[in-house]
Amino acid sequence: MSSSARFLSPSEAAERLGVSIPTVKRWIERGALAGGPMGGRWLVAPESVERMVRLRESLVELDREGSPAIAEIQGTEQRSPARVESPGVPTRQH
Amino acid sequence: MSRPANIEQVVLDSSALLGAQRGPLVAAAALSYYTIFWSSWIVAEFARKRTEWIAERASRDGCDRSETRRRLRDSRRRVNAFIRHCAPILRSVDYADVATDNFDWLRDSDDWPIMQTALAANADVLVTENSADFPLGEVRNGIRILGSTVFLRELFDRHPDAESDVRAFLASRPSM
Repeated sequence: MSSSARFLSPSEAAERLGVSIPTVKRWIERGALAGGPMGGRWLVAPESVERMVRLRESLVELDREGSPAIAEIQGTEQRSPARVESPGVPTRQH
Repeated sequence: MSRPANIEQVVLDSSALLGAQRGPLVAAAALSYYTIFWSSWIVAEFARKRTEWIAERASRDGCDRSETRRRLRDSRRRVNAFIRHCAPILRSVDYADVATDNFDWLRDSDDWPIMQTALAANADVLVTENSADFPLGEVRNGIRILGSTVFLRELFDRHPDAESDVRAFLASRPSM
């Protein structure tokens, strides 16, 4: 077994993460995933992929349970029916 | 032209971690767009407030004791997993020895450890949803205080790939 057998290809990492291959390469370049070009091909450390998968799963699990509204967080909530805020990504202004 | 303020070292308080922007905030840090710092105080407050919210919601929903306990048990499992999987991403600092001399603007001493954490982390920004106690958009003790949405917009404006990366991270469907 060669040393590279312990690593994933970008294609394998992309499939595991559920994102595109260019996204995997960009995340490696950002330092968010461990890996890089080696001997003419890209390799990805599987531990860093699994770490990212587990973090995402834990976020999804918490979101599934809901999040308190800002008024609830501030402790100023009136005794009205519970309002659960949906997660969402704010958009850029420009 | 003045340089834009740094947004690289950031403390998220428990209200930011509790809120609906938790996913994008943590995802952006996991993708190395900035670094989150937290402390034992923030972790404990997050777990406690989330537990209180789950219990209050169960009460409002008219849950009996058994259902309430089930919800609390499930919530504890989720919170523990979240903290465990955030640990490699978020950096912990020791806040306890940071002086509290100039905290007279903070009326609730329970908020002091938040600012102590931000000072211990040498943070550029404190992100919080607690606008009742923290003046959003202002600088206190040399640290900018922003709400989650404003912070994320600023981050996305500064890093053109960040928004699409965060969306890809959160929308991804990992294989089993």
